[in-house]
Amino acid sequence: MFDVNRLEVSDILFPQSLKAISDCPQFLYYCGDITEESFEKCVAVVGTRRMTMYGRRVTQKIVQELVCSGITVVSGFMYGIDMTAHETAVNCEGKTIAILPCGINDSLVENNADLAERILRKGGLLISEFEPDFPAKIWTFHKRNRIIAALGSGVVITEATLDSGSLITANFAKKYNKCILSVPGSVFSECSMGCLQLLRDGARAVGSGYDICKELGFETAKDMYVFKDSVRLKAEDHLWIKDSIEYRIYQLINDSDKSISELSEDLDLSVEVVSSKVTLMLLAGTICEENGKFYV
Amino acid sequence: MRLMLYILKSAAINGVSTINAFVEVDISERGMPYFDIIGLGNKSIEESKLRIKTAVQNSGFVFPNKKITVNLAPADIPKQGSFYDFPIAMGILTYINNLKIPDSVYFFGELSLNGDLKYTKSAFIFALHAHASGNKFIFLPESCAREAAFFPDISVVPVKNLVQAVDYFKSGLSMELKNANPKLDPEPDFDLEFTESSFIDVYGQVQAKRALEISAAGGHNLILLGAPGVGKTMLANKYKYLLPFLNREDHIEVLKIHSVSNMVSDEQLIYKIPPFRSPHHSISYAGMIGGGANPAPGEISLAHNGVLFLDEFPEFSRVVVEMLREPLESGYIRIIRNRNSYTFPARFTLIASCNPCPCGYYGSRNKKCTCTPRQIMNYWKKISGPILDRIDLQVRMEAVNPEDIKNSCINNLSANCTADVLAGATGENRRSASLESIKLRVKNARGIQQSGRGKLNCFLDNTLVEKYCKTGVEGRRVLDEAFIKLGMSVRSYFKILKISRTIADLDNSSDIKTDHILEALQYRINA
Repeated sequence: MFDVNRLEVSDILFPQSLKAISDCPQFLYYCGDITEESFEKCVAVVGTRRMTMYGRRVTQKIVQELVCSGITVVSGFMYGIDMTAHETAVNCEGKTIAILPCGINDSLVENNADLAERILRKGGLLISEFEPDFPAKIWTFHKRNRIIAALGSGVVITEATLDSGSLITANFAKKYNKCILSVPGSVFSECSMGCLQLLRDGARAVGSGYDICKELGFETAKDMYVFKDSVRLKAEDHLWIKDSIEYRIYQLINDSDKSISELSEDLDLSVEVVSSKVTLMLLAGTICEENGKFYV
Repeated sequence: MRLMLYILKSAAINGVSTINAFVEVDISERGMPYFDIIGLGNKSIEESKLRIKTAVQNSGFVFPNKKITVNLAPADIPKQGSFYDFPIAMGILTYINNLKIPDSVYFFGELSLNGDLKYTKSAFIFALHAHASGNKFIFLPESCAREAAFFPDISVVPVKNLVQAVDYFKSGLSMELKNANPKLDPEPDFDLEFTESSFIDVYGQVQAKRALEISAAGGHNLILLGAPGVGKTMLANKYKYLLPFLNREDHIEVLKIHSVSNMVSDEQLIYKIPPFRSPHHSISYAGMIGGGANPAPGEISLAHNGVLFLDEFPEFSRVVVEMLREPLESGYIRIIRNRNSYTFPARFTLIASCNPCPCGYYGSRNKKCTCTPRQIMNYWKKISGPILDRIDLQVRMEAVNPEDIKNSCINNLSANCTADVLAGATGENRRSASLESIKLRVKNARGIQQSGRGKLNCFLDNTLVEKYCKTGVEGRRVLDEAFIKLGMSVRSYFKILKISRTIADLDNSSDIKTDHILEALQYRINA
């Protein structure tokens, strides 16, 4: 159970960007500490629920770069791209705002209580326009999207299918005269068709956090950093490649995610050797694993 | 007055064990003519009266118009099976023809109404009983002869019909029986018809192949996870070829179990290949663990000393899957029916395969998954934690890009090494992936385990793991780090040690090296 507070539209802390829209909610429920800076320098990062590995990597990269530049990431707290955006922001010790499609004490939040708590611990917010116990309905997602669009200075869509809800968010952004930023993807990937559609309609193509900052007029960070075991490290110091085999493995999976079998075949090395190297790199944090595939 | 009580030796089959039994046939001059069988026989024994009477008459003998009482002793043990037809008939025929039947003779078989003997199951276990109790002769149907002839020290006499059997004794049982054994190649030690190609039909998937090797070497249970069509079933089907042949003791145990439930095929008798069972997922729990009013061994017992392959693992009913827990630990199953308890051996390696989600494409590169997280969660709930805990090796398989197969075939076709390409093995990989070398390593590794520890690595309990799976300082450090970073449970900690032990055995190394642990850490799914 979270401590839920209520914010009236008349309150001084009520986000100005939200007040500006015509269908502004009359009050918000929130969790976390709202300050005057809470809603400054916000960028919305949204996308499909059924993301691909590519979508995940793009989201992680962009969010990491945004957080390093001191930008708050706004997203929708739904699995897929949204969760990845929150997750990455929290992992980089950054602030992130989750706009919920349900009340703050609904089961959706309860099921992901761990993430919600981490968001709050890093100074982030959970926000909902619905009463604490209100369950998520199809229409609540739709309504929530307008708040996401309104809060961000721009809306970044990292990966979206043609029927993705993130296109609704983009539509709202268009209505509110916000900058729509879309990440191009493979033309063969169904999950990039939504982004392609946005680009056709005049969205700005972006490939990194810098691009986004430039488009929105924010300052970019000078150096990139990552967190490993809660220690802040420079991004380039983060890779510990010990020998030539590790280097070759790194190069291959930097290209695209690979399974052990694929690595073993591509490198023409035995499974034994590849497995133990990959475990070492995994433990060192150089690479990550998901569903039996390794990526950077 | 002639002695009119004839006692013939026989056996009663109780589960997969046998006990001495006797067929006592008494023919009395006094009383109304009648024919009855006592001694807790089941329906098929009850009905055998009519078969015997008709068969005797149709064989040209005059059925005695007397009071005939047949007792199957011991009287307190339930008996079943149609193989008592023959000894009962022989008891009556002894009276009719005034034969003399030696003490060391067994009769076994079911009668047809025309007096012919028909194939009857359980001949193998019956012969085993005769062998163990030191008896010399078994008369049985021709079609059962090969099963019984497995034991060279008993003389097997194949019999066509009752007339032939009577003739044997009329002419006086003599030396000619000694060589009556049907030919059964005694100790054939040649391989089945499988070649390298049988293992390499599956393109790539070298990690899964390696996992099969480790599983075969240490008897570890294995689950293969992957989208439809990646080759899970195909690979699992090859598994039995990696296992060493059964020794005679294990072979007899396997045949014993199979003989009470099915006909034992010639291949099973000759080749000592471990059994491979792959029941469909619609199987009932009795089918899986054994059961019925007169309990018969289930699939887990038929897979004893071999492999139980459960394709589409989550589709099996939850009850059936949970039943596997105890046999996986203990290696046997006890079934209690009709005030009687039956113990069936069930030491098998479990190979399971499943999709990552209901639609099958979660995490797949080539196709979009259409499942919601809730559906995926429910799917995984079907495979309970306790079962997954007992599966040491867990491997994900990724679909191989069809373009890759085509390209590498085209590139290599000119060099005339298509076979290598299909093996997914060139250079380094090819050396270690050849079936022969895998078999050899598995055999060696099993040898190390049996001689050093007396059991396969998968059966090591935690104290034995502490004893045999010592790691170096560096290895311990890696394990501890992995324990925290990869979120491992204590149980999986021990699993990793056991797998490392098997990998070290495959490597012919007495110590577990750090590399062995690092490799072992790749055979887990964090679901």
